Amino acid sequence: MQITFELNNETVCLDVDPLRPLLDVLREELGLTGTKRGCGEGECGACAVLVNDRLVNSCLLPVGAVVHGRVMTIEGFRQTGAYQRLAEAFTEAGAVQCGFCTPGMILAAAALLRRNSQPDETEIRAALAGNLCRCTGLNMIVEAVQLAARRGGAPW
Amino acid sequence: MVTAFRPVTLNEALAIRRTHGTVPLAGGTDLMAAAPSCSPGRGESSPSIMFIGHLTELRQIRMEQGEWRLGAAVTLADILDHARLPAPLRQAVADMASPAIRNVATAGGNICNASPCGDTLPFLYAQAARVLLCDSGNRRELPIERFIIGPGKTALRPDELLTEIVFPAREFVVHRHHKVGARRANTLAKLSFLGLADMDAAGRLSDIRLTFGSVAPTVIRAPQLEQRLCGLPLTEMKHHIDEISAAYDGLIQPIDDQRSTREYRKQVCLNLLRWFLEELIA
Repeated sequence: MQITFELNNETVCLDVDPLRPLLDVLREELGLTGTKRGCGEGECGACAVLVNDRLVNSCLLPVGAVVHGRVMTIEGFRQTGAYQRLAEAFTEAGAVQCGFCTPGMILAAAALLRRNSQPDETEIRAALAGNLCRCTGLNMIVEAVQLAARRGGAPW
Repeated sequence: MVTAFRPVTLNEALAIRRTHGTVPLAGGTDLMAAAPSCSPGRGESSPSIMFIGHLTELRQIRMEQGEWRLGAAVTLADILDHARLPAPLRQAVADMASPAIRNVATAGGNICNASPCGDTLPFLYAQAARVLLCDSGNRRELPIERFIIGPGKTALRPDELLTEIVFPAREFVVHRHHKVGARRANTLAKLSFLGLADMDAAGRLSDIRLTFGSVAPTVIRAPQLEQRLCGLPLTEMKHHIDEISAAYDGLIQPIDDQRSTREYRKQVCLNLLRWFLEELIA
């Protein structure tokens, strides 16, 4: 099936099996390996991307479901001021260790801050509930999001 | 490659359903997770798939003549974002999965998946919800408890689509929802309880709905037991709690599985029921 969608602000058109998970298409067809495969069943959030500005697990999303949609991966998000703010906060708070969960965490944080620029701790934990981190114990990541929110200054 | 359809309108989707059958895929979160190598329809007898999650006819949330009408492809996130929808429904949805899954998973999917632990089902049973089923020429409505036949089984015909979920826009003064799982997020229920109740000016129970999820092939609700409680002055409730609990003890027959045990499920259900009834007195 011919599938057209917007990926990181550029139009892409692919002839792929529409039932292939978006994750596989991103990594194997398009070489965008910033999106990680963790559990492959929607439990861990390592594969999270933004679809129409909303956080989505790309392992569970057939690529046929994003026809005419807007997909943003960590590679595209890197070009934004919001990314710069989050990256600084994650670095300062010690929120990155092995880094495997980080692309998903950054996008989950971005999706939260876009809707709620001053979240409290409960809201941050709820927004990150689908993203697992096995290194940091999560607390440093929560602190990183608090730090980024407190500093503000980004067009989330 | 599995045949996939992507209709532009609901009418087109119903025509495809009539001609080709096909498995409807709205959000796909259950289908994709269940399929081997995370992609549905890869088996030998792979059926075709039809994307329906983008159909605007299925994405509406409307109030009409005192009833809520949710399109089948309304997402769980849409329900959470809609502040006027009943609190117990929004609370049940808030306890489901994770934000990334709620952004995709749909109201209709949670019903058609017909899981014993479907988290929206206790609310829909308590509210006597109906589902609207359409084929390319006709439409019919079924009460939720007649649509869901058993685990993974529904009364949906091969040429039909579930298009809307309908329930009275009726709020209850008291509502308590408890989902018991191994952790707070991204978890399947070991059991769940929803209690709804209203009192009249004279301090009598005027309406009560009690539902239990994940403890039977389908949601447990016993309208005849609820009926017996209606009209009961709350001051007399304490004399009836043991009797009510015993009646539900007979009805709740859960199983042992990888998530929990029969004993735990039943005991916690009865504890939550007792807690709810005691709270009504206070």
